[in-house]
Amino acid sequence: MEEKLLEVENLQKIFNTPRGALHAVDNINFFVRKGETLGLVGESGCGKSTTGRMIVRLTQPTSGRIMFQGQDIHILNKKQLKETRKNIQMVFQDPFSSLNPRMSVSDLIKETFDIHKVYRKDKERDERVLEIMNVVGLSPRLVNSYPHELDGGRRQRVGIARAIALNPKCIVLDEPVSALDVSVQAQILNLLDRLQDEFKLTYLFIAHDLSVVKHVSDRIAVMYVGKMVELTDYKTIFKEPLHPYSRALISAIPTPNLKKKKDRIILEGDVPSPINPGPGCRFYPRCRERIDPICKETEPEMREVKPGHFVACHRAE
Amino acid sequence: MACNPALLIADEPTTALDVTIQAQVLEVMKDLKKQFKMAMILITHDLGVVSEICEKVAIMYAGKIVEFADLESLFTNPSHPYTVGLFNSIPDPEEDVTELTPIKGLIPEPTELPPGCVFNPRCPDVMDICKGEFPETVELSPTHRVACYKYHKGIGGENK
Repeated sequence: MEEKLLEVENLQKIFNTPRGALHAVDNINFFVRKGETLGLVGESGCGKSTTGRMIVRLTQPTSGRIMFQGQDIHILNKKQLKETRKNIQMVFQDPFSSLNPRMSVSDLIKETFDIHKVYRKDKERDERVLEIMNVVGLSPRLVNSYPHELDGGRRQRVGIARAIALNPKCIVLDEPVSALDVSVQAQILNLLDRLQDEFKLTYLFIAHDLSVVKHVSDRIAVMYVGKMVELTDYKTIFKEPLHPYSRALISAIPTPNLKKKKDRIILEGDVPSPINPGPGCRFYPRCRERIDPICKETEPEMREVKPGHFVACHRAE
Repeated sequence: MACNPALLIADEPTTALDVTIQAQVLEVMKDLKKQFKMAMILITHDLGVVSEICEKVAIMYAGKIVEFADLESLFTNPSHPYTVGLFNSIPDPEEDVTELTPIKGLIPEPTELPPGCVFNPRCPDVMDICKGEFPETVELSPTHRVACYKYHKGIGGENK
């Protein structure tokens, strides 16, 4: 598990809006090891999905590099790009809006093969479609069904089938279970887990539900308003979160458990706007442990405070 | 809140929110409830939120209330197989579990409800009688009622 499959360096995405420059993702750095799951958590609008979209090249970064197997994916020739596209796939949050409503289940899966011209014979391709459907737990009788005829769980299985059809190395999962019921959610999480073992997949798992992220991830990165504030393994982030935001986030999870009621940290104020952010720490206005004037004036750098535990906070030691 | 209501129905009030904001909203709701002495029906799918704010809980499945209890009994002694299934489906952030145990199968179409207990096709403890008629409610304690044949005298193994 040592090899770094995906590496993100100083990645930045600024959207120009009528109200100013929106720093959606601001200089983030991380890597994902081969075969591991990195969870990316944070509030909506903190830049998680934008990060995922840049990794699959749906969004062009403003600056920074995304390295996949040592290659910068934003400077590839046509052939390399096609190869990389096969290797990095994405599963979207809402399987209803991400699947073409006028295509049947088999068309949707075939499409991925046709785009990459994988099979010369239709028969081989159609057999492979049924095989993939079987792998993700879709019954063969659904082959001619349309997305609106399926429930959320099955629709998401179609999304997953499309993602794994080309035997990718890495899948970006953008809130794959957020739109599902808890019982169906558990089925999909178990499926993703099984697929990862079976096909040696590497996952970047984007979600806002920390209990889900902890369940699937090896390491977890916390984002706040375009910045990465903490990154460590899944146990440490729950046991000893160092960034005040991570601490608040973890204390705010409502647990369905009466015995272990913990002290909540209730944050004050709202999430600041990512448009034209000030010079200091993004969390400064809501932070209970801020130090004046350093936190207001200087942005904290991401530092490795313990082996493998990175945090961007002036207080962390 | 504008008209000083005696009852507030909150339908998934925090579902679309992030946890830190959700925690703020839940605090506000608790305060308001106390301050205005009003009753509240909170509709949610999140058992975590339930445990933070509610005193009594009704569990619904396909149009039926299958279990109704005070908070404490529901969380310490969930009795309907559906309620048990729900608890097993949620990853607990305090514990390390490698595989979740989801409820098998899917929610039935509201137009094609199965005969008998609506949960019977997915129930791990299904018995023949469950396919006949919807079970009557049994009182496990003065504050805990459940609609399941498992708890009917002379039928289920564990009469309480």
